[in-house]
Amino acid sequence: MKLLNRYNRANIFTAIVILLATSTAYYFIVRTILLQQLDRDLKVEEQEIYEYVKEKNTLPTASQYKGQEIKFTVAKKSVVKRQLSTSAVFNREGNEEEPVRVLTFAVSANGILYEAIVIKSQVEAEDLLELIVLVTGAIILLMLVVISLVNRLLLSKLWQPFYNTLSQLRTFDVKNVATIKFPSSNVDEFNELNASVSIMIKRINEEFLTLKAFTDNASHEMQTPLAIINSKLDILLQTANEKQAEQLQAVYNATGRLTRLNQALLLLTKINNEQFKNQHDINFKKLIEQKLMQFDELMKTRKIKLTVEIEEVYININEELAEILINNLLSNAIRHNFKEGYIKLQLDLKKFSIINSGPALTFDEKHIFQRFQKSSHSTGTGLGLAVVQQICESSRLSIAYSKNPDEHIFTILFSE
Amino acid sequence: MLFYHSLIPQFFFNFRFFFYSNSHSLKILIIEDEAELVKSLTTYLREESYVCETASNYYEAINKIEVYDYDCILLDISLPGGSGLDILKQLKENQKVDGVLIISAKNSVDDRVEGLKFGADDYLPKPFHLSELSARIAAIIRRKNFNGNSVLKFNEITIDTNAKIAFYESEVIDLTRKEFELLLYFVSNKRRVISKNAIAEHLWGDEMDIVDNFDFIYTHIKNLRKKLMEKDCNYIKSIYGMGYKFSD
Repeated sequence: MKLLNRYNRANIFTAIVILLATSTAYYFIVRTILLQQLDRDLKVEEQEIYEYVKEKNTLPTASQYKGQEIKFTVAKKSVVKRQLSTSAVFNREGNEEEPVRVLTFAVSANGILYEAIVIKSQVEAEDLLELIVLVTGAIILLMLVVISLVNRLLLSKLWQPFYNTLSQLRTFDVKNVATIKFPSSNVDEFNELNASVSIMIKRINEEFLTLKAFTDNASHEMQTPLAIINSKLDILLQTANEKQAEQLQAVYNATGRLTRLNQALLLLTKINNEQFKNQHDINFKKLIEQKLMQFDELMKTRKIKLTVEIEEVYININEELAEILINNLLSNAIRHNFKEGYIKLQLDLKKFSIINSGPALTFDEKHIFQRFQKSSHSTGTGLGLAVVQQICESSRLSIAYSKNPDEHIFTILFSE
Repeated sequence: MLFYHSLIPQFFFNFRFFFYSNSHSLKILIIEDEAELVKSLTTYLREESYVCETASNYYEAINKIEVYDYDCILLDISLPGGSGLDILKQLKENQKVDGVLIISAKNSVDDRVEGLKFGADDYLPKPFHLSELSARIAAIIRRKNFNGNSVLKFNEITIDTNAKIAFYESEVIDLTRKEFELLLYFVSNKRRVISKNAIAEHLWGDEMDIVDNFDFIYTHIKNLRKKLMEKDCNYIKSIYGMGYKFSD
């Protein structure tokens, strides 16, 4: 939930509770005051009747006019209790009950005890109350509208620097060293936030550059000793005798393996650092055909049967990476194949599949793309498929492995 | 398979033959800061009768290229005191025509493209085999000295590197592409022992990653040897099963 909405919700909720509470209290207070006013009027009437009877020793005429009624009846009991009550009578039109306030008291005239009843209509008081409730309701509504509008306008204006910072951060790309500039705000908190973010970004950029430099340096530092070893081997080879030759061959092979390992690790790091940015539409069909030609001899020697079903498909990918991708997948399919086995290639607009016969994995298939994960019979670096996965990831392609008995399937999906 | 003799047979009659290897000493400048590597390079290249000079930093290199001309310069990109690319620019400014082979530890396409853009002739990532280096140097010198119209000779065998045809005396030797490349590699490294690893990497490149399987080179070497033996040339000698030597 947005901060603004959350704040608004709390604000409005509080406002409604307070308004309801106060208007209820207000209602009861006003109602009490109005009733007291009515009662006072009734008592004034009572007083007037007493005075009239005292002066004239006869009852005033019963009367009924707008909102007030005076009635006299001969008391049935010897004592008439004086009491104030609320009741309801039908109005003059007789179609609606009206709340009334009734005062009953005893009055004696000519020695006869009468029960006097003074009735005053509460309609006016009720009308007034109704009006009060209406006005209060209107005020609540108005307040809600005003509060939410003010909050919306004011808060979104207040939070604007925050949203600016946010959108800047969203476009932040560690590979683009262009520094993010935050406009200064007159709110201290936002300025502090921006300052902290700027420092963080600076540090990230520095770290990234260091990491990049490290990749380059690591490459240099490892390749040079390897180059020295290789060159010394080539010189030793010129004068080696039969005994030494065998040892030399082992050193050659180990050096070669170390070289390939180092190159694959560097490649992984480079892809990870997204140092292969230059993507464009590559004709995958052409690329695959080209690679198949390169591997043709290899497959023929191992008598591997090749089935190719490919369509013209263009994939947005870095060219160098695409080559490595196909290379690794193909050499993997050849390397882990049976003699006289088969390889099937399928390429259409949706996916690229490479299916090959081969012995079952000697490890859990979940780990097939993990670095240094390889079958016990494999002499590879154990990095080929890790590189494949890394390339797919950085090129926003998804790769999956599945198997049948004696068959391995790698599928790359070209999802848009 | 392509049989190269069928491509441009008429070319054969237009050749001017150059016998350059013994005519004068070819001069090579090795610009590299790693002392041990420099030692290996000079040892190996001097045996191929190149005259080697060395420069271990940027300034030394700049001084040497301004004063002398070289047939080929081996150039490391990362040098103490400056970048090898600046040396390339300097060569261009001085309008030198020295051949340049970049030997760089950074095997990246960008580096390669940039190096070639600044006028280098070839790019060889470290680590490399000395036989590969030697073959590349020879190729650069051939291109520079003979305007690309170049021919290599070993006794009765003549190789036209442009047309990619090999001859026994005046007779075309029927070779596949791989066999031709192999023969060229052997002749470029004649009388030196070349390791199987170097041959495999030369023929397939290191990216193929299946080079630890030497079956392929056996097949090709066997076929090439057979074709040469038909002409009575028993030049390919196996050295204790770990390498080969092309010699008489």
